[in-house]
Amino acid sequence: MWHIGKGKEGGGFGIYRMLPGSGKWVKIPGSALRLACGADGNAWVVNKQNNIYQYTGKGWKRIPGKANDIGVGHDGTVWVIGNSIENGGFSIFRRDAAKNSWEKISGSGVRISVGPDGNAWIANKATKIFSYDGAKWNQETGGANDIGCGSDGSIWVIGT
Amino acid sequence: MKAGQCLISKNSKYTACLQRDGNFVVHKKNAGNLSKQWKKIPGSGMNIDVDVVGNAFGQNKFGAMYKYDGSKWNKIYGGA
Repeated sequence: MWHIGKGKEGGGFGIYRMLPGSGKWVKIPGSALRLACGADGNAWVVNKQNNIYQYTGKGWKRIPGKANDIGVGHDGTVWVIGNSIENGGFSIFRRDAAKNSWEKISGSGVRISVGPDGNAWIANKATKIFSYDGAKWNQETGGANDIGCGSDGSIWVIGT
Repeated sequence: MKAGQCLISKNSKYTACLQRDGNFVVHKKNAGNLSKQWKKIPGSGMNIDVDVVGNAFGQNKFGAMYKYDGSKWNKIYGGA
């Protein structure tokens, strides 16, 4: 389990990790604003400078690109809310791990999370909720300020 | 098979993903899309994430973290 703390640092706030069964938070060097955890237990973060980093188990690896939020699916698929302003917030990208690059997905948002099947859910700046079905975005009922997808398919939102 | 890798059933309805601790998590594919109803959960927050079994972690505007156990929010004491 990972979390971003309250202590301000250069890239945002301090990063903490609790290893399973330890019950203790360990400070991890580095700082960030947004964090997502992959099925391998390692985190991906976005910092105040919109830089993207992946924790390798030994340290942070800088990933090319810029982002405002990040989500990792249980299947390992990584999505980001990018840094280019668009109608609904910012551009959206899905990582192509094989090519070590980002594929631009149409649409825009401000918060993102990824379901177990590797498809994203987003909330845009108008707090509208959309889910990606592999080809297009489908608007969901309700509104959200933040969104989280569980590996069991549960979707939680911070409402409006 | 490495942690994070998933097996998909022949009918594509279920996946089983190997976790870092060696356990498999089995879930229904696209389960999140089946329900279009939102259930209001007591409490409020700014940020949210969800664990592998579907319980949420919430963080409020004061930075305090809580984990939902299926019936109530329990405060988690963070690193800082």
